[in-house]
Parts: sequence; structure tokens; C-alpha cells
Amino acid sequence: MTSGGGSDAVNGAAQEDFDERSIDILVSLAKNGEIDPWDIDIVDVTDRFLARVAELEKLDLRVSSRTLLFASMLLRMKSDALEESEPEDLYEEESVEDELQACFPALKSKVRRHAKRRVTLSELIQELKKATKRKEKSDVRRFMQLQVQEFDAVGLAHSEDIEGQVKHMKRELKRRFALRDQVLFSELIVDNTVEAIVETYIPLLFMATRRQIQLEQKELFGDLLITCKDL
Amino acid sequence: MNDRDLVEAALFVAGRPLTLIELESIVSIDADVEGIVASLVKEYGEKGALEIVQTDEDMVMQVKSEYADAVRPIAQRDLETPVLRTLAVIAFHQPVTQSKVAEIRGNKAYGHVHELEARKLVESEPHGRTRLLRTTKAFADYFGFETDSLEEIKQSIGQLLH
Repeated sequence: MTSGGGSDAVNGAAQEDFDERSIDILVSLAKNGEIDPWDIDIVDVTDRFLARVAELEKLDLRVSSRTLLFASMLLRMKSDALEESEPEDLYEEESVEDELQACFPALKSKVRRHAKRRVTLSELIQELKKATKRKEKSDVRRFMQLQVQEFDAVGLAHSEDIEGQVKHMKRELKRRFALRDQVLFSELIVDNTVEAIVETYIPLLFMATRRQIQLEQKELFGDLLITCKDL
Repeated sequence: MNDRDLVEAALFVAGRPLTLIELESIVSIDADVEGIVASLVKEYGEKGALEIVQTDEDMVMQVKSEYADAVRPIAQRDLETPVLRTLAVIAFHQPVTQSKVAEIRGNKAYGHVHELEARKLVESEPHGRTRLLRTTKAFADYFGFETDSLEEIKQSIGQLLH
């Protein structure tokens, strides 16, 4: 009992000594101005405390377990402090947004009408006319290209040949206009092939451009009506 | 905010007919929506270029007919011009193959047909390697044709062309 009691007394004294030593470390850190007791940075204090413990270990190997406990507690506090840093950032971002909204309340979008109206039948018809006109133009362009390619392929000066065709067509039309005022395009086609149709159509286009004849299409995709103007 | 102003704002922003149920969903629980609409119909009818028209099922805010032609060019159409042009070609030539439409309108016509099918204005069925296109009943309703008969629609368009 006595030895046990004596041992307890020794242990208690040692414990007190070690506690004081740990507190002394913190007090000396404060006294040296290394930490501010009213504004403690846990991360900084932990680092400084552990550095001081390491120094003392070199001087005195009997550094108490309590000192190490304080160190571990400080370490825990340090890790908690570091963990908490993320939510703090989020809080700061939210507050910035709140501040912006308070400064610029007019950023709320206006509700405007974005209605679209229906298309009318008249507009549908107009677009059909435009589509037809575009198709006719592209057909003529394609025929012209085809004609040029064919003439080029046989090495002919196509302008001379076109003029030849125009002359031939003029003779043919004069003969027909002697009998009546108007001639149908379909009457002039000798052979119902693409080449024959092109060869008939092209000289008519040249003559229409020179205002020698007038080309008219009464119905969409219908026959062409040729009227004499100045042959 | 009062219920009368809320109904007016809703009719303006919708840009389409609204049902009584839709209007009731935004006003206070004890509001007399029918009474409010009747009062707005009268109020708008007396002055200004807008009117509120009420049918049995719904009500709509629109431009009065005497102003419609003048402002129509400014109002945005719900079909873009290239798509409308392709629709016109289909309506005039129907039943017409998709390849023929593409020949007349170019390769972009395939995309236009896709959009017109999604709008239910055109329908198609397989036809050899291509598809055969025709207009639908929704097309006839949209453009105010009395019938959805292809022949009669083609005939009407043909008459309007000349």
C-alpha cells in the first residue's frame, strides 16, 4: 500500500510536472510573441508546439505522455481546422452572390412575348412561285453547261454553232409565224430526247434575250408559248 | 398585383389561346376569371389595335383584323421560308417522291421534309428506294382548306397560282 501510495504520489508529481511543462511551452510561445492568445491559429500553434516538443525530446527523453497527448489534441484541432476551410469558402461565395443581387436587382429578366404567327395560304403560293422560278433558272443553267461541255468536247467554237442554231430556228419560226401568231415549244421538238430539247430551247433563249420573240408559260410546268416580236 | 392585371398579362405573354383552367391557375382562389375576361373583352374592343376573343373553350389576345395585314410582315412566321417553300412544292405536286422534291429544292429538302413530318403537316410512306410524300389533314386545317383531298388541294393551289 505504502509503496503503491508512494508510487502514486511520485506519478502524480511527475504528471503535474509534465502538464506544467506542456502549458509552459504554450505560455513561453505566447510570451515570445510567437502566438497571440486572443487570436490563436490552431495550425500555426500546433506546428510550433510540435517543434518545441521535438527540441525538448532531444534535451530530455522523459517527455511525458501528457505532452504528447496535448500534441495529438492540437493535431486533431489542426486537421479539423483544415477540413473546415472548404465550407468557409462556399459560405464566402454565397455571400458574394447575395451582395451582387443586392447591388444589381435589375438583373431579373423581363418576360416578353415571343409569339410566332401562322403562315397564310397566299404566302404558301408565293413560295411555290419562287420555287418554280428557281427550278427553271437552275434547269436553264444546267442545260447551258451541258451544251458548252458538248461543244467543247468536239472542239467546236460554240458561239458560232449557237449562232448557226439561232439562224436555223429563226428560219423555222418565220415559216410557222407566216401561218399563225403563236407557236408551241413542243411543236418544234423533233426528237424527244434531252439533247434535242436543249438544242431547241437554247436558241429560243438567245432570241428571247434579243427581243426577237417572247416566251410565255401559262401553266406551271406547262408548254412554252412563243410569240413573234421582231424577227 | 390584382387578378384583372394577371389575366391580362397571361393573355399577352402566352401568344396563344388560353383555357379557363390555365388562367385560374395563376389568379387568387376566389377570382371570377370569366367575369374578368368578359370585362377585358369589352375594354379592348372599345379602343386600341388589340382584341381579346373568347370562344366556348378558350380565349386569346390578338391584333384586330383591320391592323393584321399591315403588321403581318413584321410578325415572325412559325415556318421558315426554305421549309415553307418545300412544303409548297409538296402540296402542288403531291403525291410526290422525296427524290423528286430534292431534285426541285436541293438536298436540304430532306431536312425540311423531316421538320414538316415532325410538325404533322406532311406524311410519307416507303416507295421503292425513296418515300412518297403527301400533305395531311393538319395541313388542310392550317391553311383553311375545307377538305384534305389531295386532288382538291392541288386544284385550289393551281387556281391560286394563275
